[in-house]
Amino acid sequence: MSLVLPNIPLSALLPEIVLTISACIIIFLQRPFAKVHTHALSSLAFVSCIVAIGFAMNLWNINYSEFMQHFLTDHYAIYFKSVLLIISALTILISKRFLAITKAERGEYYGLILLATVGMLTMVSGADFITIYLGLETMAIASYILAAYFRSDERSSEAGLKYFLLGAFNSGIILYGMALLYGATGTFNLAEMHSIVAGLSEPGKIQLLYFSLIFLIAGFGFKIAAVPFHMWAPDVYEGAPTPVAAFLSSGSKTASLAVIIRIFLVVFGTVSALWQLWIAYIAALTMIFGNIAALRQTNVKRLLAYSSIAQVGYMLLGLASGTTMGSSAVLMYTFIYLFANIGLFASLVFLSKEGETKEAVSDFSGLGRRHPLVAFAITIFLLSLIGIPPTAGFIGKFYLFMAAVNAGYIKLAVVGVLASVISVFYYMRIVVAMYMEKSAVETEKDLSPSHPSTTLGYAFSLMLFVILTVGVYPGPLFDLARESLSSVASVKVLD
Amino acid sequence: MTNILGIPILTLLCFLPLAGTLAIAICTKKDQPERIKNIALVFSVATFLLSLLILPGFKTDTAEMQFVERTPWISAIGVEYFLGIDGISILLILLTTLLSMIAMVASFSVITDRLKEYYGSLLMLETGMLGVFLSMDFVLFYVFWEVMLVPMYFLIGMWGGSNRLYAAIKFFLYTLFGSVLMLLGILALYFLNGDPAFGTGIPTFNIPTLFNIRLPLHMQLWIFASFFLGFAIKVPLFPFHTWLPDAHVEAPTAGSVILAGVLLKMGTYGFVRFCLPILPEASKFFAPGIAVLALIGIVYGALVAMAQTDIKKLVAYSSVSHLGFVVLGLFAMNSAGVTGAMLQMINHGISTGALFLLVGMVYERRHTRKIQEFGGLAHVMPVYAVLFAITMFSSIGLPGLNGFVGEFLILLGAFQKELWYAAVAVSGIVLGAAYMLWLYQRVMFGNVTHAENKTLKDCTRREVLYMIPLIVLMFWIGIYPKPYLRLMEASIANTLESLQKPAQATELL
Repeated sequence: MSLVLPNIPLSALLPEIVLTISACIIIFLQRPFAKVHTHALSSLAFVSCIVAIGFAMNLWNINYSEFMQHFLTDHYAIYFKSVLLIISALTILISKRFLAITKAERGEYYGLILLATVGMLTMVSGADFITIYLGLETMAIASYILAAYFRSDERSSEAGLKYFLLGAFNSGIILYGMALLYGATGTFNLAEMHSIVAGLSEPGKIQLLYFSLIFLIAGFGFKIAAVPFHMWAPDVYEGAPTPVAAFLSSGSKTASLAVIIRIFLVVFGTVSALWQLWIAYIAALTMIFGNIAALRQTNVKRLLAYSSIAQVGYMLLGLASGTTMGSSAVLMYTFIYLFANIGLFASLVFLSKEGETKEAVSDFSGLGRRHPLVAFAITIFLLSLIGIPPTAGFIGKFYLFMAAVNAGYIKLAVVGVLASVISVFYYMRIVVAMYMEKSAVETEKDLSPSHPSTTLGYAFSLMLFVILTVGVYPGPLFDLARESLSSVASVKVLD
Repeated sequence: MTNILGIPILTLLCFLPLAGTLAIAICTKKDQPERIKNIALVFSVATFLLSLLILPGFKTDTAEMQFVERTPWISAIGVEYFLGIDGISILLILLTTLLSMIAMVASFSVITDRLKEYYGSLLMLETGMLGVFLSMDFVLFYVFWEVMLVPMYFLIGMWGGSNRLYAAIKFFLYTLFGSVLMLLGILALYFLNGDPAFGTGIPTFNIPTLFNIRLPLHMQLWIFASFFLGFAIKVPLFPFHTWLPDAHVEAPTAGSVILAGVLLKMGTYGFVRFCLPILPEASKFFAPGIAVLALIGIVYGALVAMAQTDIKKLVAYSSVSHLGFVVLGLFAMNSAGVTGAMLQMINHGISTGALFLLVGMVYERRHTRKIQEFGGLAHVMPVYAVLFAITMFSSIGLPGLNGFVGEFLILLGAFQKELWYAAVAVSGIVLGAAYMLWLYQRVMFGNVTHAENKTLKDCTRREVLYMIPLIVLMFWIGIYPKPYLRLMEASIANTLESLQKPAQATELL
């Protein structure tokens, strides 16, 4: 009897393979590696991310149809893979200094970041629910451990445990939703489900569909921290180490949004009447609540947690509109949002000193005088999140509101713009601290940060450059988003 | 639509101040104040001269956009980089470059801390303002409109008075609130133009194309409402004016000059550029209500100004009153009214800008603005008293100075519309004279009541130098306004013509 091996085009999996091998090397061979050079581990992690981006972009023009049963490498997947790999690369850049300060540099950290990224990459390439769930769990478990990275710190352990318990429960909910969908359609494959759902007529099956929709909205809503599934986010982001919080707030949100869009447009595309209004309500709630709750925060990490909850609300606006314009707006916004978001977490890393990790708004006092360039960069990041030109954030929000108005959701767009105005309060508080308050410490020793980090400087420069460039010349990004969506949009029926 | 100079002059004009900001950021250090000031001065003077270069090539007999520069910017959504100038914007451009230059010079002795950020912000603000007046694409317009907010916020918040943080964030939020609602109106116009029943069938942000859109009244009303809020807050129209006294009082002198001189004009510019031509039926529908608000602003602003004890706050409320005149003239929607309103925009910029500069001079010397702290200054500072007198009369509207021409035309227009509009407005003029003359009497005449005032120095050469252009203009426009009016005639006639367009047939929808 001969063994027939499946014909797997390994080049389709190269990004994931590269990251997994690096993660294994970093975790298992960290002792010998670290002896070679202090930066060996982080450099390997960073380089493998960049190499993976290269491999992913290589796949843009290649079409692997045999693999399409389980693992997609269409333009949509490649777009999101690139975005997620950028997120990991930036996280690694800003982690280096943080781990040096907290004296917690171990191979497991970089290994886990890479493995979580592998999970995310798998998730966005999933053509059926099994693959999606596989990626989801990989990402989730790695995230739980990362959140609890500082074992001896109360808040970190609490964050990790909270995230784990709620996340495990949530995975169950998602799984149940997927199971109900299997019951309704008889298949796990997204593309097949599209045609089956379109022709569904039995009342029993339609009920199953409806229930599965509820479970999936709840389950994935948890992952992106949409209201009312957001309760875990402030505590987890506050407790987790700062770069991990950056990674979670950008990475897992982007990956989950990618999956949500694919599922809703492909599987439920023909029954949009069922879910559009739900998503619209959730979007409105998220924007309103996220912005209002952030107003009173003095801990910057909690503030950023609520801010990212609110930002997801804007993205859900795009999804709720259900049109190509809306979804490509979401694609654009995930790319734009990550730079400002990680940038603000990076600023916390910048402020931190040996023995004290800085987290309060008052820690920004006087930064305008001490480090004018950093303060300028932080101001641009904040303006991007508010949505003021000429930053990329304005372009992103503009396109989202455009999609909402086009789809007829005028009241939702009004809520969105008013929520943006509310957000000015808490974002500008940081600007006020930087430029209009005196620094609390004046001695020379305290003024210059210990462990001056050039990688952090590169990260800041890159993020600033991207935000200002995309703000002034966003044309290519528009086209890229449209092009990436075409592989998903061709399957759905709307617009 | 020719660019006879062969160079993209509007782009150069618009971005030269931004180049100045970059030059200051890169080529100077914190401890080189003279260098920073020199670079700032060079760039602002260069911008002013560049704006003068437009005048010879400007055709006064056409309402078309001139010196047009147009390239696609974001073709995915049909946004263009489209700059143009016409009769409505040309005087505002000149006002902007002139006042920015003067504000720059006036700041030299006042600002001593963080000069790089200050002059950088002032220059960036100038780019934003010029961009607003030059943009002929809605998204470009909106971008420049919002870009103005951040430097102004910093100018008030970092170099302002004692309550500056409150005033700065109030200004920012109030204005942003109006702007974002305007964004939705812009998006609505974009998509509605894509409907062949209303527009050209292709969605566009192009402003001249949107001049031809014909919407039914009920749609116009909503879109007008969204634009109205954004512009009314900027004007400021009663009752959306409450941000103004705080912002003006707390801002540094140059900030107040720019704020009163140029930023407030953006609201009225918005009305005449967008609301009247694109939404004519809605404008006619709301005109009586807006005229009433304008009249309330005129009288209320004047009465509150009379009650003030802080000179700067008095001038701030006088702005509310004066701009009420402008809005009244605009919404009288006849030739006299609109022409008067447009001229009065320039006049107000000149006279109120001058007033703020004068207040700044005295604040620099005594560090107080309370009226009771002064008295008899005319004995000690005669040149200052003369400059103040001329400016005051210009603000009141004395014939011979610029204020009279504008106010007369507005009153004529208001009278042609409704008799009682003019009657109420005239009372505003009387009140204006009242508070201004009373202010002058308390501050300048009488004996020198406070010992500190006896040793005050009169105006320095620099101060006289930067007041001279404004004084010259006050006389020039007052005695011979024809060249200024002629620049605007064709565009105003065109705008009024679009107001007479037959209304959209209501059976469509």
